Amino acid sequence: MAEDLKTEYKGKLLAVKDLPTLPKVLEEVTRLVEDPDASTDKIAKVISLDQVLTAKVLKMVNSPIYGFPGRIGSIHNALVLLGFNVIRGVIISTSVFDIMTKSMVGLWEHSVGCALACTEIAKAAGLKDPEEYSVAGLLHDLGKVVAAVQMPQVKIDIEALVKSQDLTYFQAEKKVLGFGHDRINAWLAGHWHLPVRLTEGISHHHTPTRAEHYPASACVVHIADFLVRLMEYGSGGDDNVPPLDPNALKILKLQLKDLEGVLDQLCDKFLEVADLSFA
Amino acid sequence: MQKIPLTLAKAGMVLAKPVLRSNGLVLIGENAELSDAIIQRLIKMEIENVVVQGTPLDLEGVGSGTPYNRILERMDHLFRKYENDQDMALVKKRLREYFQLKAAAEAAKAAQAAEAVEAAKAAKAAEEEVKETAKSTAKKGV
Repeated sequence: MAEDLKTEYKGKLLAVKDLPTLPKVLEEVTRLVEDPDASTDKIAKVISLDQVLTAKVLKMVNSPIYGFPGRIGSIHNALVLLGFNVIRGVIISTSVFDIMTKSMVGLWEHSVGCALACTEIAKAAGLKDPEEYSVAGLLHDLGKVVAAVQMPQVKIDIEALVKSQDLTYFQAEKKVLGFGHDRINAWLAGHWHLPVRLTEGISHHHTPTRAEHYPASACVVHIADFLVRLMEYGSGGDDNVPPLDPNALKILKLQLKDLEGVLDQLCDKFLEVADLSFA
Repeated sequence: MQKIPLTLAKAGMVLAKPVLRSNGLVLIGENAELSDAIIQRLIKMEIENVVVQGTPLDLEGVGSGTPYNRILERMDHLFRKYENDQDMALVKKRLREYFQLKAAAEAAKAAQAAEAVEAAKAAKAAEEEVKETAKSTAKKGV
């Protein structure tokens, strides 16, 4: 029966017509990026056609998360400064988090905190393009949002289980659904054709050593999740810290001591983003 | 041997480990005795922590009311599932030390700021007094 249940839930989750649809623009943009003749100008123009989306993207890229607070005036500017992968992540997060219900404000804060932490950890580890990791941080609990929107009853069941049996949200998900939000992330990433690095970052943040192609991405999100939960910025659905896999630090060639510098940065930055939202 | 925030270091404490600049350059070697002048120089160089011999400070419970203390208080609860996990115990111990240092430094900073405010008040009061006496002597002169 367990297997049937799992299949049924997966079907419900991916029922395409109800899925938080991504803006048409994203498809167009994805196509343009693969086209060798398309210029940044052309891509920027396509995004700018959707004014609401443009406003949201600009608001997001001007937040302290990406390191250019209040200095990006146009989509073209944003594309040049942050790169296409980051902008694509921002577009996805704006449309997905739009549908978040009021009860999930804590999760949004947790996601923003995680995005910040990812950038700092990537910097500490000396990785290239630290901003790209922040997108993985921002989207790492996407599965929780989509599950809650598609199946509201399931969210209520999971929360009840967390309370009554003192489980983590992740454990409770597995009991109720048969799989966790990491699996949902992997399905969604496949469904939306996200880049592999982002896919691995969001679908392996609980099992960083199992990421095949970009273990660094999964490790960064894994550690960021731990730190943000430790500082209790926002809420991930339960009051535990997730287990920190020592191998994640090893893969990034970091030591526990290096996390102190990251924490120093985070303490300051969490004040800056205290009231950031898309609304 | 104890790591302490520089704001709480006092003249007479002896270094157990050399103080390094971020580029690895040694500023003061180990076994050197701290003096007020040296501490002031280190503060100017933005050194945050020093490691001194013995355990001169009791950091437990210092800095209550700072955000770092809130984290410290929640830590046992957050880590409750990992009582038998050695790796997590180590992580917890290191993080606890980090937040204790931060809380102590924050408390010391707050105390210093309060002192500065007090000193400013005292100075202002003294100034007024001087003015008052000047006025009264002027009156007397008339």
